Order: sequence, then C-alpha cells, then structure tokens
Amino acid sequence: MSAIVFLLLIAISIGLIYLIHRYFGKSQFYLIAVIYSILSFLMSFKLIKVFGVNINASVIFSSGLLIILYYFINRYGKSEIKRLIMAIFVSTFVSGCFLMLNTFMIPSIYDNNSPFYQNLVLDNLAIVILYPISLLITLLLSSYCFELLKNEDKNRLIKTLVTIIGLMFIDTFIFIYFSYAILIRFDIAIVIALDNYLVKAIIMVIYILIINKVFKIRKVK
Amino acid sequence: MNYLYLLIEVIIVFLLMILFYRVGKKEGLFIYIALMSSILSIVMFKVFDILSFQINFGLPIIMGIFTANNIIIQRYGLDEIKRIIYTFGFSYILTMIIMNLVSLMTSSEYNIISNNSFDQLFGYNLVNLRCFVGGFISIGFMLWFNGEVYYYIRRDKNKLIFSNIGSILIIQFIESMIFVVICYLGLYDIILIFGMIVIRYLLKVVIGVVGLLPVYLLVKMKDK
Repeated sequence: MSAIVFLLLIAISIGLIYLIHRYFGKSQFYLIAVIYSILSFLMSFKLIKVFGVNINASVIFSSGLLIILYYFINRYGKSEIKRLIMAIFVSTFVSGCFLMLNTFMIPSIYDNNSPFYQNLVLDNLAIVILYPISLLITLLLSSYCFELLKNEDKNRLIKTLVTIIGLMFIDTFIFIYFSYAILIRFDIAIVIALDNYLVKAIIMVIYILIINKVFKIRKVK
Repeated sequence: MNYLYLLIEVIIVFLLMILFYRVGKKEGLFIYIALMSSILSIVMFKVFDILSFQINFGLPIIMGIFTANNIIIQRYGLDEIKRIIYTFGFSYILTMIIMNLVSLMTSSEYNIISNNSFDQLFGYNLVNLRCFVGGFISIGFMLWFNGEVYYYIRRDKNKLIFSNIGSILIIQFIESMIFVVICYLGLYDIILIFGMIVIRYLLKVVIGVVGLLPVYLLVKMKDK
C-alpha cells in the first residue's frame, strides 16, 4: 500500500508539471510551486517506510520544486527565477508561521486536534527551522548550477544528472541528517540520511529524464 | 493570549497580500489566494475560545481570500470570479487529498508520536472531514456570491467603502451559517451553534473592516 501511494504521489507530482506545461502558462507554474512548497513542508514531519527504507515524505514534492526551477531556467529569464525562489521560500516560511500560531493558540475545551498539532510541530522544531534553510540553500545552488549547465553543449544531460546527484547530497545532509540527529540519534540519522539521499537521487534522475521529454511536447494554445 | 495571536495572524495575512500584489499585481493576488487556500485546508481543524465561544482557526485567512477577491473584482472586473473560484478550489482540495494519501503510508518505527499525530490530523476523521467540506462549500459560495453582491452595491453606490462593507455584512453572515451548520450540527447543542455563528460573523466583520485599509491602498495604487 505504501509503495503504491508513494509511486502515485510521484506520478501526481510530475504529472501536474506536464499538464501545466501542456495546457497552461507561467502563472499556473507559480501556483503549483506554492502548493508543492506547502505540501513538501508539511510532509517533512512524517517519516515513512517504503521499500524497506525510512524516507522523509517531503522527498517527492521537494524534488518537484527543483524540477519546476529547472523548467523555469530553461524557459524563462533570470528575474522569473528570483521570483520563483522567493515565492517558494515565502510560502514555506509563512506556512511555518501559521502552524506555530496554530500550535500556540490556547484551544477550546471542545477541541480534539490541539495535541496533534502540538506533537507535530513542537516535537519537530528542528525540522521547522532546518527545512526552510536547507530548501533555500538548495534552490539557490541549483539555480546557479542549472544556469551554468544551460550553456553547455557537450554531454549536457549527463552533466545535469551528475550535478543533481551532487546537489541532493548537500540537501539531504543539511536537512535530513541534522534534523534526525537532533530528533532521534546521530547513528540512526546517518542511515536515514543515506536512505533519503538514495531515494531522492533516483526520483530526481527520473524527473530530469521526463522533463527533458516534456520540453519537446508542444503546448496546446 | 489568543487575541494577540489573532492580531499577529491578521497582520501577516494583510502584509502578505500587499507584498504579493506589489510583486505580481493580478497574478500575485491569484498566487496569494492559492497560498492562503492551501494553508487554510490544513490549519482550520483547531477550535479555540473567543469571548467564551468557539471559533475555528483561520478566520483572518478566510478574510484575506475574501479581500483579495474584492480587490480583483474592483480592479479587473467580474469576469475573474470563475478563475478565483478554480484557484481556491484546486489549491484547497489538492492539498487535502495529498495529505490524506500521505497519511495512508506506513509510518517508520522512528518519530512515532509525530507520525501518529500526522495520521490523526490528516487521515480519515469524520469531524475534520466535515470541517473540510464545510470550508469548501462556505468559501466557494462566499467567493461566487460576493461577486454578484459587490457589483450590485457598486452599481448603486460607486464608492469603495460601501461596496466592501456591504458585501462583508451580507456575505459573511451566510458563510458563517453554512460553515458552522455543516461542521457542527448534531455535535453541539443549538445555543452553542448559534453562538459560534454569531462570534464567527462578528469577528470576520471586524477583520474585514481592518482589511479596508489594504483594499484602499491596493485599489488606488497606480500600476507601473
């Protein structure tokens, strides 16, 4: 069941990007970037077990965010990339603020959800702080690398894939390792970080291969 | 303390609206509506006390969506209503569906409390489902009907303040009734439900009146 849902979410993540490319425009890309950033932030609170490995659920839609960034760099100019990164970071930061406000509000006697919000946010403060920071660093580094790769002529796809694998290492170890080192234990955090790195690198490679095919598909006017 | 958090929420909502409009103009407001709708779909399940009555979290967010709706109608016309409703509906529903799917996935043996809390909040839960459906219907109705009321008042009295206050007073009462009845009818007694409708309405009117300032600023702002 977990594996099926995991694969379904991967399909939804890349499928929506394809649909927006085919039938809509730039403003709809901003819309799904905002939704993906909120989803990714919320999903980062859950650690799932898929294919026998422990994965942070945010890997699916955070990879989607990087693919939207890759799409923008190949299609639109530098000013759009800055706006996109700002939109993603502001969305993540604001959803964190609202979750914190929600957690700290004194609940009614009729409320049953307050303990769940408190456990979700207060037990995962390391994630609340580290996730936006690692996301911003990854987006800035990725935009720099993708801009350089845009001008490459030889073996562009292989260079892109190698760059992606390198970027995922940085992203995984800033966020996953340090978060779970604080929340659980250092030795367990290393294993979780390695599992996440492997899975996220595979997902990103698949996304990059698909998005390069998507570029060749014409938009419906 | 809840009053302070509510005030902070109001400030964040309206500052964000101004920021998104300054950067993106009309498209910025649509992205703002998408952002607020997504956040609302996950935070609205918590209930807190104001003046001894219960209110769901997220009233300033709803008023932010409502105010952005008014600004778009004022500046760009009634034709944008459909797109506003699609933006709200798509963001709201997609966020909840994905979170629901994630709650179906097997949790790891680490971080058990967080995983269980996640599943309890976003998994199948009748009360939260009623809140979700109530929010969708009430806000969708609010956005659609507001366009008609806003334009009707504006045709009669072409003053920004009359159109906004008029639409707030009429629409927000209907929205409050729809939301509270769908979410809580049968769970609480009639007096409590009546109190929830009234306090929800009054609070939204107050926030809406506070929101007139950014409305005035953004509508009068000249596009470069």
